[in-house]
Amino acid sequence: METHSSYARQSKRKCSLLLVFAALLLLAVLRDVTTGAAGLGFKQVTAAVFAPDSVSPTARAVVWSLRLPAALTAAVVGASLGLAGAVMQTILANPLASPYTLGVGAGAAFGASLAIVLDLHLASLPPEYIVPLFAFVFAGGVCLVVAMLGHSRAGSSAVMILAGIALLFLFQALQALLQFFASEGDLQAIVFWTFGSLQKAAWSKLGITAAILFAALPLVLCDAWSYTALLLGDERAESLGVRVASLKRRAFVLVSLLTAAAVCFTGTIGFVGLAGPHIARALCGDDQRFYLPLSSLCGALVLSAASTLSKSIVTGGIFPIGVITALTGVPFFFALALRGRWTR
Amino acid sequence: MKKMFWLMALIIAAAAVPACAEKKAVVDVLGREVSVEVPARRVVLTFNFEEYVAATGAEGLDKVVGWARKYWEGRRQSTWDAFAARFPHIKDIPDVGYIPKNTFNTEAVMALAPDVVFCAKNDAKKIPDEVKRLAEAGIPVVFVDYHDQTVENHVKSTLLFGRIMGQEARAQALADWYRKCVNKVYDRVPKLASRPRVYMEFSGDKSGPAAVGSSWGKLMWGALIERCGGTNIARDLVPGSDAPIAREAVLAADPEVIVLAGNYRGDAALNVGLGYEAKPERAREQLAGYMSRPGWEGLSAVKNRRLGALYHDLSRHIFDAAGVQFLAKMIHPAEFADLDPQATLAEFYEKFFPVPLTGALMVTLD
Repeated sequence: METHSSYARQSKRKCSLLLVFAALLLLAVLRDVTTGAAGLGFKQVTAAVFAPDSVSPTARAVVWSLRLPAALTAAVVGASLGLAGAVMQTILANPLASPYTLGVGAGAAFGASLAIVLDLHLASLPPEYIVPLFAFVFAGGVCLVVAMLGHSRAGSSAVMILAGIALLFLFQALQALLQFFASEGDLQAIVFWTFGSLQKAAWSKLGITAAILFAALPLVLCDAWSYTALLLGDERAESLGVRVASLKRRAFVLVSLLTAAAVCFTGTIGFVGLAGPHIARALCGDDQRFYLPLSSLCGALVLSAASTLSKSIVTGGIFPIGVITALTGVPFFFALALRGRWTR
Repeated sequence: MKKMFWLMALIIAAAAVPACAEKKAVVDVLGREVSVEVPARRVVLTFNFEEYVAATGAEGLDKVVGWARKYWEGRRQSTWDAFAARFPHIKDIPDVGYIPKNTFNTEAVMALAPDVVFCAKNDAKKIPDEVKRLAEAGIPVVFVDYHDQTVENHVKSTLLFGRIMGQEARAQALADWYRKCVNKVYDRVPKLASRPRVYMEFSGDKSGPAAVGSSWGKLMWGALIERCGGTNIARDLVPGSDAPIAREAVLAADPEVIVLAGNYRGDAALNVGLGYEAKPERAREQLAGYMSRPGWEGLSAVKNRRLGALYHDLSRHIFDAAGVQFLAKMIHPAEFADLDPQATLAEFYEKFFPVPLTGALMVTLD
């Protein structure tokens, strides 16, 4: 009875943790939307959002065409990367697993660079979607290759991690090769892509990323108990009735989609997929019912805060957001590590 | 004794050969004093071919024994095509690598035994060891500069080409032409009362208005805006040479003049495609496309239709005089009404450039 009530208490605490983080995310997005070169404080922004006709066309354009899509993209991309990182760490049983350490980011960057250098025209596709399409295909491709190699070795985590790291180096080398042959203009486009940016955010692109996140989230959460069982090791999970191979396969497809959709429109935004899950684990432990959604929320929170910061460093200039997430994330990460709260 | 005689004969013969050419000390744009055989007969070029050809003519082109082919084949493809059609032999000139790509091959240069190697000041920091090694092999490197876009360096570099290649009169005429053209702007700017706000952006991504191109802070076009009597709204927002600025920063600054630096990317592209293959009507349509960017309908420049575009390469070249005049006229249309940048460019081609001027390099909205 004692244990039961303590468990209930813990679960309740973790539930409220989720609510607190959701509220924090809301505040972070609000802060993001009210920050920018055009000034526009809280009052004008709310007026523009709820009564668009009461403000000047410029204010309307700033809020509706520029700030809202960018701020929501930051949250959605952060949430996608946080969730993808969390799932990867669980199914690979490795705290270093993340979309970027396993070559997905490098694959996306190579795909984007290839599209930039080849300068393709696809008649049926608006030109601003060609680079994201290539990034998406290569990011997803890396995930699938990793999953297939793992599958051929009975879902071995070590094989998958090695495969991911090998692909990371492969795509980095291919990327260097492309940069060597690229013209100066293309080279600059590649460099800016790899910096990561929310400048290209638009409602249509946000729609794609958000649709994938909100489709994947419930599917991942349905498997939460199985993921928790997986923490005991593949064999024990199997003995508990979890079909490990098909669970991992399903997880990898979702991770591929989440990561690919997140990075293809924004470029390289590293560290969120690694930091989100670790912050979440330090706060709520390994119970996947809480760990997975909290990782997602943490990822969103980190990227949303970084987006605000990137606009505040040089007002009107654009500080590369991928650089910010890494620069601010690393000290925070060290602090977490030194406090010794890793539970894995 | 007989041996002595032959040796003497050899020394005399060796001394007699360079009778028409002699070593002379020149000072390059970095202030280095270099001893160069003048007039040089064998030249290696690593940058600034347009300027070299303009200063020395077709005759100069015949003396090029090696160059960085990457500088224009592929990079300035249409100029390359025009030259290759007119001077087919340039296709056989050996490549010595391209300094910005770190592929400059010192050994290849030595094998060509040039009298002089011309390099850009911009690349100086990348090749200190190479310059030293070439000097040890008796091959002087002379640095020229057009990238800083100062009248002084443009003129000095042009005269260096002329002096070293024995084309002083032609180079002097070119330098005088340049000074005359840009001073029509620079002499008048200090007297202008207003400094309109100007936004410039590189229009090189084929998705056009959907992509935010780079702007320039204090360098390149950024510097030219100010020198042409405008206020560059991106001046303090771009940390290095060029980077995109936030879209809402443009809305907040409300520019009075918008100028895009265009580059031809094929017919299907949405960016302002200016260049030697471009058609002016199409470029104007592409330029107009930018007015539909979110919030731009409220900008002063859009309301007054003060939008223009010019070919990106009308900067940091000897023919940037046309770009300077175009920009000045965009910013102060009334004060510079007498300038005709297109005629300036045509004059340059007619007098100094051995290929025809084609395409569209400058357009305005109306």
